[in-house]
Amino acid sequence: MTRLHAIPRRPLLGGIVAFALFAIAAALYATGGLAERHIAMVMVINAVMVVGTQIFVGNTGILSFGHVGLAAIAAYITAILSTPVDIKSSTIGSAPFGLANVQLPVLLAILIAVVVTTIIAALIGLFMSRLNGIAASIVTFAVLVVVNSVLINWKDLTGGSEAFYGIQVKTTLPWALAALFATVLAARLFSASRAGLRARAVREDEVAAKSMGVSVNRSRYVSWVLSAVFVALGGALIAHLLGAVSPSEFYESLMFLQVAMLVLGGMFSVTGALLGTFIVTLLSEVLRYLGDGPTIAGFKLPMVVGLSSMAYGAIILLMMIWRPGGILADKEIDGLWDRLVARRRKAAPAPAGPMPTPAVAAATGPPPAVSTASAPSESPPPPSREPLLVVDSVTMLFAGLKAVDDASLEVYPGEILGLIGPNGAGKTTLLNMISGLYTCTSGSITLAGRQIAHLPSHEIARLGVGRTFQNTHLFRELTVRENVETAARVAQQYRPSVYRPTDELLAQFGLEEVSRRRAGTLPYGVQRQVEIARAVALGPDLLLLDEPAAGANEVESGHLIDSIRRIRDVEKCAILLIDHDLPFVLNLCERLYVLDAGRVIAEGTPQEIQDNQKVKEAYLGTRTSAGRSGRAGSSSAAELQS
Amino acid sequence: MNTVGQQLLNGLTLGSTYALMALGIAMVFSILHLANFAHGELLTICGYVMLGMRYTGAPWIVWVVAGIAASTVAALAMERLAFRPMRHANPVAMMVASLGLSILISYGFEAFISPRARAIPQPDWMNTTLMVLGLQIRIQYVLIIGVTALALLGTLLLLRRTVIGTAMRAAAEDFDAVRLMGIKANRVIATAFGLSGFLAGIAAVLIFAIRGSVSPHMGFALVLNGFIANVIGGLGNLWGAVLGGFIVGLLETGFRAFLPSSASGFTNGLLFLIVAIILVLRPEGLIAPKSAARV
Amino acid sequence: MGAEHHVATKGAEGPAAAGPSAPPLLSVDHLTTRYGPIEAVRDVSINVNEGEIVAVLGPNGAGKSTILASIMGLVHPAAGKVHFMGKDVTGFEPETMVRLGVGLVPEGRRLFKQLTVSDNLRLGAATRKDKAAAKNDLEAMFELFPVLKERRNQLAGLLSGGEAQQLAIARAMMTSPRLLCLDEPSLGLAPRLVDAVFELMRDLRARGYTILLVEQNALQVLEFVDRAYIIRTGRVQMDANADSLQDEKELLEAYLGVKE
Repeated sequence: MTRLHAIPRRPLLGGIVAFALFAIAAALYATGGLAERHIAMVMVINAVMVVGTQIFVGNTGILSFGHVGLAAIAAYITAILSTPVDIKSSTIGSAPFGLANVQLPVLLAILIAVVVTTIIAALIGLFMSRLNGIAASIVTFAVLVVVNSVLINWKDLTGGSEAFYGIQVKTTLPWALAALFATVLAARLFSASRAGLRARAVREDEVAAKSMGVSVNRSRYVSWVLSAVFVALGGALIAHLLGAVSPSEFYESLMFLQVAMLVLGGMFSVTGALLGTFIVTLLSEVLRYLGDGPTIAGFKLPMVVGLSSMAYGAIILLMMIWRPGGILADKEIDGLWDRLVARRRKAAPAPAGPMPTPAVAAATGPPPAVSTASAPSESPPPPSREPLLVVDSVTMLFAGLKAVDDASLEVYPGEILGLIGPNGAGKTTLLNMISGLYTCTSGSITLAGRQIAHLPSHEIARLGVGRTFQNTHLFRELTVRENVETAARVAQQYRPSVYRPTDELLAQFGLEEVSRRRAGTLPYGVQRQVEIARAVALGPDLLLLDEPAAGANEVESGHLIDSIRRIRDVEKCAILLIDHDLPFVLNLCERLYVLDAGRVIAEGTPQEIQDNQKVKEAYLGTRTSAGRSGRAGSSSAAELQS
Repeated sequence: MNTVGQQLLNGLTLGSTYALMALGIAMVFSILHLANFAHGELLTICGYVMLGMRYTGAPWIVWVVAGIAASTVAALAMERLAFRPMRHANPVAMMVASLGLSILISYGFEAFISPRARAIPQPDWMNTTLMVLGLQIRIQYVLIIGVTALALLGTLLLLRRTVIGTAMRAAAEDFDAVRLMGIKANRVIATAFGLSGFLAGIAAVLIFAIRGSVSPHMGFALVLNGFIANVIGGLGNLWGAVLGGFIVGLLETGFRAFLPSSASGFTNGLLFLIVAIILVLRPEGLIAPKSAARV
Repeated sequence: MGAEHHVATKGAEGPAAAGPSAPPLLSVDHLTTRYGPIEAVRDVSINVNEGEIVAVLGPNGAGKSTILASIMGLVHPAAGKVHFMGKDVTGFEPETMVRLGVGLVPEGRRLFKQLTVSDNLRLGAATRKDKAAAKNDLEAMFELFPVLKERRNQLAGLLSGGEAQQLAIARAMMTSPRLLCLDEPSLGLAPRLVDAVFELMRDLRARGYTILLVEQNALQVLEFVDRAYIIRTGRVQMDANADSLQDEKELLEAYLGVKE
């Protein structure tokens, strides 16, 4: 997690500002009278729960219906522990564990409630974090229902579906605001932290995140448990505000309300959660007024029960059709500040930096400190005797089809190795086996002597294998900086000796100008640069590049050759690349393997491969014998039987 | 002996209703990746229509036909009005939208019909019992299991023997390739929804045969059972959903029957525990999808 | 449109006697298509006359598949037009293109693996109005591809590479196309099977089919097609009669961009 001296300023300030705006709104409303004060406090505590939920939903992209259930648990725990004994004797006189005779100070009760609820959430998270998104959401739905059911049925402990009354009313607006303050800060800081970044990387692109060394299950788990803490706090606070709770208080109506709040403002944004809470509360009040059948301009409106709830439903539905991200999507209030500042800058035109094309990026090269290492045509370091990567007789079976058939290859430290072959030859499959996305059906893969064939991809990445993809797998909604940072932080944690700060990497690849832009908005060539920079940020010993020259014209691929050589020289890594651009590959690689129909059919230097007859056949196909003429009938089909 | 047999029968009966619901949900999920919260409301719609028919004095069978027709039409309307505009949205957004729809409908019923449960009386012959193999069996149970079996068989035949059913199975595997056969995407999706509505209607009729009443929010807990059945069976797998439904029904009945009465309220909790165990062992569900996703 | 001609009855006519003045069956004019941010196809123009086999050749990444996808309506072109049987079909949905008479055997086949061989074939005929003719065609397919008849009730996912390719082709033929497009049918097949696929192409032309074939296997393909276009980095590099393209050196240069 973030160290104290490294607390990022922007999220902190952004959180404070968002909180302040919300708090002012709440405080203003509270001046209206007793009822208004109550509503304001409920709004603030709802915000605690919604922002708490947002910690999970926003960072993992998985919607949760179960946080209300966690709030219920905390509410009941604090209620049971802190309510005076004489009241409990009539509500839960026969409570187990002698709880009817226990009365703890409110603060202690709240603390215990939060801790116990978090533990329960941690247990649930153990199996939930292994499920894919929709399945996990369904499980959270089950949590809601099960908690409700347990609360209703464990009459001895909870008083059943009857209201548990007599809870000490201690929540005041200042306390609620304090809790909200803590929650908002935690949410913003977590999102900006290493753990939050990992979760968001998984949210954006699970495959890429795994390949950058992020453990998918673990990152989801951490978000879930942290969010439980604050939701529990909210639940406890509401108990001490209302003075009485019942299971139905924490069931579908509250869940709908909070989902509407979360979804309206923007699931992926803390500011959005606050905004949504505010708007929905406002709307509720209006609707409650209308639903009671008021007389407006001489017309008596009919009384409509549950008008607010119907409105929530409509809000949710319409929002998803019109703007699934919510009002703010994933933008925080900091973004607004940026835009205001940018507008002021426009008035005084500043020299805008040009968008780096791949050519420019390659040409700017590494910053002066590292330039001593590179000269474009530096000869490769002599291959050391021991291969870095040994792929030994690997086979990949996909439902009966042998995508890779008994292939073997070796990569030596520091060399640039090419993997070529016709479409469908199995090259990307082979790469995926090396990086751990697929597990080979048979054979072995060793990295620096260590068996990696059955390791999951995030562990292989942590061992120093970085990669890019044929179709870019960037974290599209995250900024360029965040994309690179995800991998850099993994290096920092698992291979500190090769860790380089993100700023340095961004400078090396000429990406400083675009570091604040979302990766998905960049032109294609720059996206490819970012993907390479991200892989290099891992500080890999082995870099796998899948079609780095795709879509590049001749000038661009020329620059790419220099750029890749420079990476090898600076990082001192071996590079294994796939590409279809033969001039590019023949020029860049020191050695080549040729794959066809899953088998390695040739290996050698570029010159040897160019002269190789088998390779020519593989790419162009053989001529059939001159005597073959069209044979009519189904004999040709008979030939196809195998 | 009798008790076990009796409970087995009860479990199968309950499981049948869950299996039908789960199948309806799976049908839409397999093609669109939409976990439809509003599926539960298809059942309440059927119930309220049956309730309405009650006041016309028509015989019970007419209520049934009307109810099933209503849920089928409602499902088609849902697709056309709510989900088609969202055709290309991500699964989470679609699921949230279905939640919104579910809220709108269920609270609409509460506001404009009644917040309380309303009775749907069953025909008298439902209560007669038969003696089979030493067990006292109510006709209801036979009906439920029998109708479910027929419905499952019918669905199987539809999926396997008809062109549109085959197209639906194909669409669950590769939607674009189905379009390359000249088959219109809208038609396949609409059929899937219609079928899910039809199955929901049947499930509703059977559930009302046990429950005897309809209430505005009953869909909420019911749809959860359908979802859970899907998750343990393997999301997107039709027969996994059916299997899951039966498992949930049997477990629920088993817990309720064989737990000491003080703990019987905790069937939900225990069910959850079992589901958790299943998912720890097999996160993808019991019948895992066969396709290996290519990167 | 979408004439229902029966597979087996075209007879030994050979390529249709379309005079030089007859408009092409398919005409692609100045097509430009983007795949995400990349311009995958740039200003490509291609014609296919009735009864011909035309090949689109080139290395991977050249944009060949994108050309087919643009014709079929799976992607929408950024610029240019597609005309089929004289009608402007640019940007039409795939379902409509199939009904108009363009059949596609997609890259990687995209068979419905969980369905049987028969199911796959029947889906091909799903939108045909004349059910009797469709049934006849099913029998004709089984005659043309006896192994499919043998395995008619097996799951398509269990077929071997060669058998799967047969099924993919047969399935597309079941849509009764006027123009049959194939995207790299030789992909993943052993050389012997590749020969057989190309033999089949010859057969089909003899039966009166018009074929647009996308392939990497240039030398072999040039032996039996009528004309070929060579595509690299999204542009047409060469286009001529197959005979004149068989000079290997020139081909290598255009194809790979390397000088030997």
